[in-house]
Amino acid sequence: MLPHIAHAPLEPVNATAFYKDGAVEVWGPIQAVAACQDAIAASLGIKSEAIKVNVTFLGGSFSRKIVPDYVVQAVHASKAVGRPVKLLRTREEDLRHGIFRVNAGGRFRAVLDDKGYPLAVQARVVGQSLFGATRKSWLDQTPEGAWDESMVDGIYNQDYRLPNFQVETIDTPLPVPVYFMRSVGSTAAVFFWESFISELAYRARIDQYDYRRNLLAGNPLALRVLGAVAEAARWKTPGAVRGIAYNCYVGRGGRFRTYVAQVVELVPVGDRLAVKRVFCAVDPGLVVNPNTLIAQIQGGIGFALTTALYSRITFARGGAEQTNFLDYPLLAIDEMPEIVPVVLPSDRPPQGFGEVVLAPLAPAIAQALLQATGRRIDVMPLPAAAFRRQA
Amino acid sequence: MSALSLRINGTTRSVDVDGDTPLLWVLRDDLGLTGTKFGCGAALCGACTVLVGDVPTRSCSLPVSAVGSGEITTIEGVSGPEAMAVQRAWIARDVPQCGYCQSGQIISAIALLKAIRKPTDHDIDLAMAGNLCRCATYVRIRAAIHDAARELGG
Repeated sequence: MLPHIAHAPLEPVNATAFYKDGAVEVWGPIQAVAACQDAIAASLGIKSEAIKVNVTFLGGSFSRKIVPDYVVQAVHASKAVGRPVKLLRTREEDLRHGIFRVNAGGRFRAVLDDKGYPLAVQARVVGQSLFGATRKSWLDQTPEGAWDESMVDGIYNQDYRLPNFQVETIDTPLPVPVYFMRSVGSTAAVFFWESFISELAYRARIDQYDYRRNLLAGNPLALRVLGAVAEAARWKTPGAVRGIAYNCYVGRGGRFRTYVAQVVELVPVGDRLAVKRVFCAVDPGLVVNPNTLIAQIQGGIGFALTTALYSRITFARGGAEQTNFLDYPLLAIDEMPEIVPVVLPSDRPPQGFGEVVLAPLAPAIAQALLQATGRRIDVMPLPAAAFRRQA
Repeated sequence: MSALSLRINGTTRSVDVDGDTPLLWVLRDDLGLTGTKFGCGAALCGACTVLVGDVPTRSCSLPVSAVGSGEITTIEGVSGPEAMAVQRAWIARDVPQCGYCQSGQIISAIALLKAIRKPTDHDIDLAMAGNLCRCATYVRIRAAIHDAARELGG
């Protein structure tokens, strides 16, 4: 089970607005200018052409600043007082009035052959539907029929050999405002899916890397990225507590395919295991700017580690309970693992990259803990107790 | 409201503010020094870090009346060999992503290098763990601090 989580960009949402004589000018960190114009226009009953939007640098967004609620709020304040208004939400307001990533739960069942490989798999994901809440027109746009494929992104389009495979989504609508967040559904779905594969391998007593290689036979790009990360991490050399995970991030409608595999290493620090090193192999097609690609690998894994270890929004009395970085912590530098990127050369055109390295991290950590302790971890954030070393 | 005299970036500035106004808002709203950022208002994220003397200080939680005669340095006023080395290293490593936390990160890094000429990874952890970065640029922050220390001959 995964909770709602918040984007929590370090710059809280803010906007400056000036309403005068039926025209509006706004300044602020706005990720989608046209959507912002349309929202203001609809709210005031004026034309979008009467709204001038000045975009400032975005102090982080991760999709939060696509939703222009804070800009509309500033515009109405300006109209009410007849003067320009600068609106800056406090951290407490920013978190409590977040536009959250959806929650999710899952149930996965398999029929296995005599070696422990799946003959049939049933995957069921339940939760608040992002498309149901924000994009109803997208619900019937896939060949698979009317569903929110973001709930099963990385499951329904997964790469493992499954002779029989059924995937279901169940929308449980909630009155919680939700929106896209970096890596969209994959952070939840791939956590479920790769953790399920990890458990099958663990029960079959087959090495996690070998198990995945077997199920990816005939898929050279998948095998290449998985092999590259295993080689970099010296997977077969005993010693470290490790976990491995694979995902091909498929852009919506098949727009791109970026192959990612990660190995995490957990190291004893006092009475706990800590994530100290992450190997990350990627096949993103032709790399145009290696510097920013490496930056996305490093930062994306750090972002994903915050989600894996800490992020949880809970609701009570009609609102989010979290208030600031004390109860909604972000990863700090002393918890940041060493990152070893492995970028594979490719003749494919450039593929998507900003979101792709996030999803495999949490299931790789959970698998390392499963192998080390025999305990299955099927919730995020991963419980702190799971990292405690046994005496 | 009361008139206060502050030492900021090597000059004396006069402001007329309530004494309990956080230094951050005096810097940003009264003096136009907007390089120092608001992140949490509770000294939890480090985006608002400035130097008071050589001490990195969370300006969001420091009443302006408590500054006294302390020499305040904001990101606009950093100077000296440590600042130059940090700036060069930050550019060479392309550290920032969104950039919002970076003035606080740079101030804390300068203070660290003034205090410890050749910081270890553990020194960096202790000095920098109060500066959060949502983009998680931490790998490059650490590398840039080591680069700057090398340039300073540490």
